[in-house]
Amino acid sequence: MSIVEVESVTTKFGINTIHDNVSFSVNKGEIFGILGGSGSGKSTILREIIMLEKVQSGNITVLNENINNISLKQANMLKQNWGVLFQFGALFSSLTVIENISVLLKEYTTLPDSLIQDIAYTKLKMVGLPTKAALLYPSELSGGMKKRVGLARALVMDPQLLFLDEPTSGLDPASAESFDRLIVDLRDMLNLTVVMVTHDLSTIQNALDRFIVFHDKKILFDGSYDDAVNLDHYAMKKFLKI
Amino acid sequence: MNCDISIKRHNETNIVLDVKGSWLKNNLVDVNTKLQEISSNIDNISIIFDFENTNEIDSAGIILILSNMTTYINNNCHVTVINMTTSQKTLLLFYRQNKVSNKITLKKEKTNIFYKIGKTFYRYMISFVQFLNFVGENFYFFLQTLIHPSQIRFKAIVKQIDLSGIRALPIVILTSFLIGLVIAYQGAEQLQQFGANIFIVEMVSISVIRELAPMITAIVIAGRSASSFTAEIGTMKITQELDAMKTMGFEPSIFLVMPRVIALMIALPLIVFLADLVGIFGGMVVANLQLGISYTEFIDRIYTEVDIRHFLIGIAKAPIFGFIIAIIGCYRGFQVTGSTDSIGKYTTISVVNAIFWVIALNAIFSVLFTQIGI
Repeated sequence: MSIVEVESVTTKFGINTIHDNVSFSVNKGEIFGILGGSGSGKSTILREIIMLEKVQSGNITVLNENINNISLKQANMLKQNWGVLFQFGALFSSLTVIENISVLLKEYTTLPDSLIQDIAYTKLKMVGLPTKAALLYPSELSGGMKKRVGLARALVMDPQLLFLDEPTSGLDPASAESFDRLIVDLRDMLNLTVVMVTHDLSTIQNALDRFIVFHDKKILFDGSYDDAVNLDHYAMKKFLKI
Repeated sequence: MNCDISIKRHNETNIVLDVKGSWLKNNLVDVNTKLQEISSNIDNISIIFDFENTNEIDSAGIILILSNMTTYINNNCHVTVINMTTSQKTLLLFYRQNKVSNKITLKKEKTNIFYKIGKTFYRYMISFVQFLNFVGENFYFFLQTLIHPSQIRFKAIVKQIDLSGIRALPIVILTSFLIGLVIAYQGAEQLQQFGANIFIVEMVSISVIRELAPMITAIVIAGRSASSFTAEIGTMKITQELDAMKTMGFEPSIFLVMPRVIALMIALPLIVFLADLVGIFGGMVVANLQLGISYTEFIDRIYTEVDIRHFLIGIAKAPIFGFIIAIIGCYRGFQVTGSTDSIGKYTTISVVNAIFWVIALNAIFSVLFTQIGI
């Protein structure tokens, strides 16, 4: 069953074509990677899927909703079924860590405060952060911690679908590796489907089930790492450093 | 779909709780109170959660049950679960692993009034000392550029004059015209009663060129430029541009502060001159319409009755206002730290400070100059 379906999407900025008739789909339970060099439009396609950028031509279906013509109400329902982690966490700088995590529960549920706190602290520990970080402000956190808080915030509503924008960029190799492992563990535990934009080689090897590679406005490759290694194409070889 | 919890069986040694329906975060409020009721009157008993009739359960539901389990265990009860599906069990174990029992709370500060006053006063004092430091530092670099004039950023100065001076002209012209107009209009009413129509000339001219034009212009510029200086420099600090400059040996003082300060010190007297003209023109229009004083008559009387010193005092104040606006705007920009909301905070502080000091300095000058008789 496909969770995200992208059909013949074409995107242009001015005279610049970013995607030329691009199609792919993401299956349930997969950790799916969107890869490509800088400026290849991988972040743009992610922004189109999560409705930050309008789809110019083509169709995108997320959790069986066509996002091209979706009502405001349906869009809001849809948004509660996914979580997004931005590249630098995008935490609300005026809120503490624990407030950042619990903000969605406060806005969208009528749960009592004590339970919201319980949930937020559990999610904080779940992403591997110490309890004493709870009352810090985002400006007091390191880059890796920000990403973990961002992940906890993205997971707080138990989404089926998780979008990650370069989750391991800017992390040291050990933190990056443990972040990858965390993503895989969470996927196994919580039945998530994960879509991530990345260009971290170790993530590609260790975390992704399947990925696509953007090259020259088109999708050059769609498959697993083992298939990619066998593909004889200069751009792929350069990209995967093989 | 709703969720419910009820006591299925109850005997002396154990209670079986029936976990029914969909335990999702949107409908947990009622069961939360029910669970608390149950927990309030049990002690030293075996409790069994039966998940036979559970449709679905999410993290909020599991964490709610886990929290209550902890309470029961603290009441010397023995807790077990039965009839869970494998996936529910893994979730339960997973969240139990990550359960945090010792939440932390923020300690409230002492709220003694003297403590507060003292703290505020101390903060102001520190902030004032820091401001003097900042001014001193910039003065040092100013002297350095006087010795090496090639370091002066002429291009940046010209750009700042354009941004903060020339672009501000329309709004300054409009405000000073209106000020001249209002002064003349209100004055005309009063002067007419005494038949002293012609004194409108002195009234408008002196008040505008000596006090109002410099002050209003400075306030407009403070609102425009102090805020933009703070926001610009603050953003540069957050994006680490300032750090980058320092590592390249570009002194922010010379590259950012001095061009802005010098630009406003040059631009403000010129703008004030224009504001003088426009303000007087506003008065002239009213004098003509309201009191029948012709334009030539008005200008002639300015020549004979209004001393040049009034004009000079007004113009002389302008660079001082320019200095204080620019230096406050830049200083607050450098104070921005970390988060994005501190930009908003310091921008507000910078505009309020700049306007306050313009008005305060104007008042001091007014008294001072009148006392020494000029």
